[in-house]
Amino acid sequence: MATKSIRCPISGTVFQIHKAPGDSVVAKEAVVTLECMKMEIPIEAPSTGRVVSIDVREGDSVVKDQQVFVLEI
Amino acid sequence: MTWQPEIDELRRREQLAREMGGKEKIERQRAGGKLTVRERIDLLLDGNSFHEIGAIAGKGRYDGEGRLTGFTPANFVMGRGRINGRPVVVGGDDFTVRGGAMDAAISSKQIYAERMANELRLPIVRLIDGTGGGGSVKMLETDGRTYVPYNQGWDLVTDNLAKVPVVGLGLGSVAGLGSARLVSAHYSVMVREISQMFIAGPPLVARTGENTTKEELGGSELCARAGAVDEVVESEIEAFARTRQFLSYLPSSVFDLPPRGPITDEPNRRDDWLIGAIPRDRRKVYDMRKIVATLLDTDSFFEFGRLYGSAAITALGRLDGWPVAVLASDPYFYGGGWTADAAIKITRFIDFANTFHLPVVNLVDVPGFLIGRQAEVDGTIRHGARALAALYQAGVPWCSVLVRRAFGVAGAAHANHTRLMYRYAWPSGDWGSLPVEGGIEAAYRAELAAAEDASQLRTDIEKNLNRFRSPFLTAESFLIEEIIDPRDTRRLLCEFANLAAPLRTPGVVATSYRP
Repeated sequence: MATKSIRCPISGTVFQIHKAPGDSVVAKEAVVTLECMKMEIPIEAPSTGRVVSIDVREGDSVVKDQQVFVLEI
Repeated sequence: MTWQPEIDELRRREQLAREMGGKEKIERQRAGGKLTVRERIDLLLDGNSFHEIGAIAGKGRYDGEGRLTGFTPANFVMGRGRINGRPVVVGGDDFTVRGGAMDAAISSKQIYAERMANELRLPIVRLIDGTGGGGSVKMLETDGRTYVPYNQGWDLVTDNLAKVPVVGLGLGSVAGLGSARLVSAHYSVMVREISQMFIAGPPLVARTGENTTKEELGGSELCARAGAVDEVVESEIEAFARTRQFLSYLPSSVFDLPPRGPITDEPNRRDDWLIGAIPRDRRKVYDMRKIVATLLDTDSFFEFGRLYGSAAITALGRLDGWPVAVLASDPYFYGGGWTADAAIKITRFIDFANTFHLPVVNLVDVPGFLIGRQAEVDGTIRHGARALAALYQAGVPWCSVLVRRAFGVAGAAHANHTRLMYRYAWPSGDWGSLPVEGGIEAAYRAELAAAEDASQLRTDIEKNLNRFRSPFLTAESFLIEEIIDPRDTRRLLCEFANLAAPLRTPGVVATSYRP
């Protein structure tokens, strides 16, 4: 099993967290939603797997390339 | 007595040239997962179309009688060939001879390839694997002197960007002049893992105290994210296939027009799902690529530059067979807001479209420039202003479709407003100088400060202002020319492509492309 670090494609604020460590996700499923330019921007799982960790909290300011979550694929 | 002995000698020398750097070096090239330059050329071009020039240029070794005993070809193989039946120039570094440094090169071969593309008005594809003709300190010993550097052939490299399609393929570790040659292109590609690109490689960088591997310093993904190259592909074969497709949208030179491709798709095709493609909730994103792909002729969507300036999608495509340049917003990245890198990408793309007379289709959802401190640190407004200048200097036919937002200076930059506003809006259109949500504090500061319940007042103002947000009210005043059913968009864009085709004007444009 490989793990993949999923990083922020943009800077913004963490709006919602939809998953917890241990949860299974399918490809293109939103794990975290950011808010930026008044838009809700989902950070999706690139492939089916299991969430290992969520590295941000709701309300956090995040910057581009910061790790958001880790996926086991 | 005929000249057969000389022809035999010629064939012998050509055969020696085809042996490249020798068996051992070729094996080393293959062990590195790389094709040889001659395999590359054969795989890029139409079968058996390569006509080599300067094959027997190199260094011969002779015995006391003046007989050739051995031969090392120059480390650059070039000539003409065909791609999809159309003539092109191709030139590739031969890393098996030497990594491209000038001491093994006959630099005039590279210059010849560039001049041939320039004067014959043909696309040029550079297969880059090495330093591409730059210097080596070894030359100090052989030359017994040093020299003031100059960038050989750069007059032609620059002029070619204004005149003929240029493709740079990074097919190995590329440094120095080779890197400059790779990126001085309209389309530059690196192959994952076998290609790295840097100004100077790890040994030189280590002298500054920074220890890195080639991948850490100049891996393909890093270079594409930095916008130094346009694309990363998984194999050399894929790089050649992408090159062939890229060139299919372009004229052989700016003195010609982009050729109409096969008409494979119904111009009046309507996709029902388009009426629901934009979420009614303004805060929700959607897949712009899916929209672009369905509006264009089937399978003609060719995006490049995806990893850089990602708020803007830049692509080639066809409408009723006609090649077009497609600019579109990606709401997943800053809601489609213009970042500094998106603006740089847009500038280059408009200049590219204008250079090759490609009509532009712009699918707009731009909430404005990205705002905030980082945007200011990045100098976003300067890069944005440059994109505006490119837009106002471009003369190619231009059609905008406002699929959702157009706010502020960047939103206004969806078209040159002094030209015919060839433009449509979807019913999801939402525009203005500032979005209502963001503009209230600034516009009603005094009222809000004086209010007992500022939050209630804010809600009331917002509710009231939102009444005026309907695109129908804008259309009543003819401030948007047409609101359309999204399902009619393809038909209308195909009409645009057909109307634009005879308006395209061949020739060199005043503001041609810079890398």
